[in-house]
Amino acid sequence: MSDNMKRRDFLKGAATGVGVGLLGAMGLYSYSPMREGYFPETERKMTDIGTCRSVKVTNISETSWFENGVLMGDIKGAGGLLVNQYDYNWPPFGNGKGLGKGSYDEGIAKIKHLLPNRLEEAWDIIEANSVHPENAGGYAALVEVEEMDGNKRKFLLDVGWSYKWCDECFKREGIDKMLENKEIEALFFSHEHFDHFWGLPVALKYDPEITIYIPEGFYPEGLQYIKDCGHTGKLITVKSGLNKVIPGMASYVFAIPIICRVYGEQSLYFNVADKGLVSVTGCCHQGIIRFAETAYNEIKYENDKCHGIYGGLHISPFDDWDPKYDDLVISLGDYGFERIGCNHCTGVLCAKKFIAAGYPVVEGTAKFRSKDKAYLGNGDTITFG
Amino acid sequence: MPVSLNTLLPPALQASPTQAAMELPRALMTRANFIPGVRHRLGWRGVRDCAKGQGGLTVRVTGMQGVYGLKFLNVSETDSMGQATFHIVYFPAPDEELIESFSVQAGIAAQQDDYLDRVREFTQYPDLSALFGIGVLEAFFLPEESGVALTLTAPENDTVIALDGVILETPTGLLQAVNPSEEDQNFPAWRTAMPLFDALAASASYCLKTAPKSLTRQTRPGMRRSYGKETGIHSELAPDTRDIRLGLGWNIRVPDNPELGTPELTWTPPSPIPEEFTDAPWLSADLPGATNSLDKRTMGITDRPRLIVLTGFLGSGKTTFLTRFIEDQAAKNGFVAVIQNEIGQKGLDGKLLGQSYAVTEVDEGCVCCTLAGSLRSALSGILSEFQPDFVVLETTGLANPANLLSELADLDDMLDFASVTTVIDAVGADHTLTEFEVARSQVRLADILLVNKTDLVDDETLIPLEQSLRQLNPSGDLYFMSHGDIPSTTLYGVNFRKKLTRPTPQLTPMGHNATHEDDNIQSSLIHLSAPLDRTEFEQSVSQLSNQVLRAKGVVRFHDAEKPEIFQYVPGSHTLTPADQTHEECFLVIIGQDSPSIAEHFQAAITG
Repeated sequence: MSDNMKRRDFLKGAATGVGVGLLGAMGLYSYSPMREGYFPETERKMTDIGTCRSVKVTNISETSWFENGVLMGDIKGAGGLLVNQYDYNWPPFGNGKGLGKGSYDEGIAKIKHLLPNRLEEAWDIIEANSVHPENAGGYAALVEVEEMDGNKRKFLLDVGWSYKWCDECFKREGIDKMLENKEIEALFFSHEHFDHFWGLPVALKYDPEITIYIPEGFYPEGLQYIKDCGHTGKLITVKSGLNKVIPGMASYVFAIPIICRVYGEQSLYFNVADKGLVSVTGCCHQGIIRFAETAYNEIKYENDKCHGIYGGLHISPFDDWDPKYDDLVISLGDYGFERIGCNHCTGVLCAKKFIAAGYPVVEGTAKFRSKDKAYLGNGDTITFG
Repeated sequence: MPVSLNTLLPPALQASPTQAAMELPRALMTRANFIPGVRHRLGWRGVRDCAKGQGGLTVRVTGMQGVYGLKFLNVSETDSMGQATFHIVYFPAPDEELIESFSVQAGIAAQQDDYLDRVREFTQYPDLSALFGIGVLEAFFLPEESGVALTLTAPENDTVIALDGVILETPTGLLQAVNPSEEDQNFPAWRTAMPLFDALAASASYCLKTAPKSLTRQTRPGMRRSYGKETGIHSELAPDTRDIRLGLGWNIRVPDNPELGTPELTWTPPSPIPEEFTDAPWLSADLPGATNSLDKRTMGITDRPRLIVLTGFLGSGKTTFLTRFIEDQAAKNGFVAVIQNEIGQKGLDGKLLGQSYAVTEVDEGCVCCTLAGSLRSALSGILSEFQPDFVVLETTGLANPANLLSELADLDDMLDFASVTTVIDAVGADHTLTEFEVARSQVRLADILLVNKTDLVDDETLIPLEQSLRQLNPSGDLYFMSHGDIPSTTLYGVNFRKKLTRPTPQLTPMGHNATHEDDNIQSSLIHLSAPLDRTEFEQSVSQLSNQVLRAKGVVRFHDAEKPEIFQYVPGSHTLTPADQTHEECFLVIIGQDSPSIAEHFQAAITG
């Protein structure tokens, strides 16, 4: 070929002649000085987690904070998204020194003696010492699993943030009584973020012995907080990967870095008889596509069908080297979910796009400070199966 | 254990050296990418997880057109030090010069329509790793010392000989693409892999809050491959190339690779860093501000929010577009402040948006008349309270941005001017543009023209509309959308740094497009064929006539290697080194009587 001819001029639409496919097929780098990987071709593991008859989720609260502007102002004012969440001086760890100058030790020292039973007194102290205590809300959900024999078992996913708001929400949904009666057998934390985790004393006030599952990757302050809140039950740290809980229910821990110095997210998977896979998430920082793909590869579920999903469906903040893709909305369609209940960090506009795209979004009632009917809001329920 | 290492990985994870080594590159990239200003400074231009598997990552890095892929290979532990190995691939843009150096087979793969889709999930496609592999990254972690090391190994040039040559079937017939026994590939692998390694190492220095304390370089004679129908594929010593392994250690010495022999270069402080590394981005880790958390202030970044002036006639869809923009930013942890002066018009529905933004109304008449006083005080309130990333000044549909722009100079200590974005209603545009000078002015001054509601009209309306818009404004970016729906990165670029494109050639240079000369605002284009003298340029800019309302372009100076992006609004201008390739240098001048101003200006700056 002539020297001044560019390959780009003729490669489009070209195909190699006989015998040249070798390069791609044989794997260049196995002949290069590079090390070989020992990954076998991935096959679906399809672990059997059993089946359950149905799953009902009650949204205790999805409003993590009430004004995003205030929250973002705090985060930016304190130095940005890498700042340790215990340093913001947010409730309950206020030390009175102002934004970005907080610390776990100083904050907890002011309230530790009141946890977990004297939360109203604690909140008075917190209000006096914290930055924007009125902005704190929380994320928490009640998950009721009906076993194949009809027996029902209850679990909590997350406990919210503000003691005041969460106690109000717990009472509204009768969670306080369920905890007192030991009807709820375990509490799963999706991740260590303030809005999912810091309301812990509210749950422990009603049942300090409850078993707690946390994803691997909690920081020392978080582990200490569980103790300082007066927890007396079992604490189970779940390793990355799949963890069977009861027939038809498993949790999965994703090892991922999350803003505000948090690491690791735990999501819940259910296999509902005759329906298929049901996923329940806190924030889904791993991204909804990875979440669904993981289920596809790791778990065996009925009819090989994705049936339902509930929770915050996070858009990856980094999916941005090619702006032409609108991953979440388009790709979610590939999985064919039949019931979608979304809220929290999904974004109302995103939820509306799901609806516009014809996805089966179960709308809510926009009560108790939830913002829009596109969200499965506070006090709303959704049943799968 | 130092706080900074804990910021990267939780203590529980550090207890397992192999797991920590495996997670290290991802943790570095993810943490460093959380803050836009920081990530831009460190050289990142986008990160994406391969959702479908095996912990692959795809990233873009400043200065490179293509996409890098990082794929986990294996992990081991020796003497409680964890070591993880990753394969580095580089996927060039389909029109990038580097395509010429890859194999023909790789070039063909890059021209396929589904190339970028495959790249996004490259771990699923072994042929992509085989064709585009350029090197290996090693990550080391030693818990006791809080030690971290990163190494890059790659051949200087990765050469492949096609013994039988390569014959292609092209749409125009057979073509001998490579002659027998000639090079199918001669790829500058080392040079291509370095920008990724630099960004990763700079992120390590940033996250660990310390510069590397050890550097080593090992080399060995390189290999090349040859393939043919008879012989299959095999490796042999290559005459003129080496394999290079460069390592950096934070708190520990870089472990050597025995396969590469004695290091040819080693460095530890306090001896001076070898000359070739004095500008390395990972050296500048003497970060001020020892706060107990990482943040952008530790890099000395004091980002001013970017100002977008949003104009458009009443009912064109400004609010719809703005709603989408705000949510888009919120999803990326960005925060938008909006200043409105729509009199009696329905503003943003705060309840609907969950207050993902701050909004202040400036209602003392038209913003362009009362700007200086009330806008300034509204801004200072909003900036100190919320520290937004963007301020959108949503003007009333009746405002003429020409009046506005000349006032904005007063605010340049608080904001970085980014864009005049004008929304146009495809349905009513024809009438509006014919009847109202203000509407024409909004189009003329726009950096970005958004034609909205395109779903309601057909090509018979759109094509003439595009022509009249282009006539009024040859230099702005033009987009079509419906329901205000367009990703903000498309409009403003990743990290808000978009390549500036030369105006479309359909209009004569030097602005002889005087069809609507009501207020004689025109666009003029200046071609710049040779580099300029900076002092002369700055001086000429300061003397620009006050008839100039906007100027922008790509400029090359004698004293700088990279071209620079020039942005001008009256009384204020910026020159920012371009981080993308710009083949051509040019200036666009918008204002009254711009052809003669442009002529004078060109004469002044080109001496």
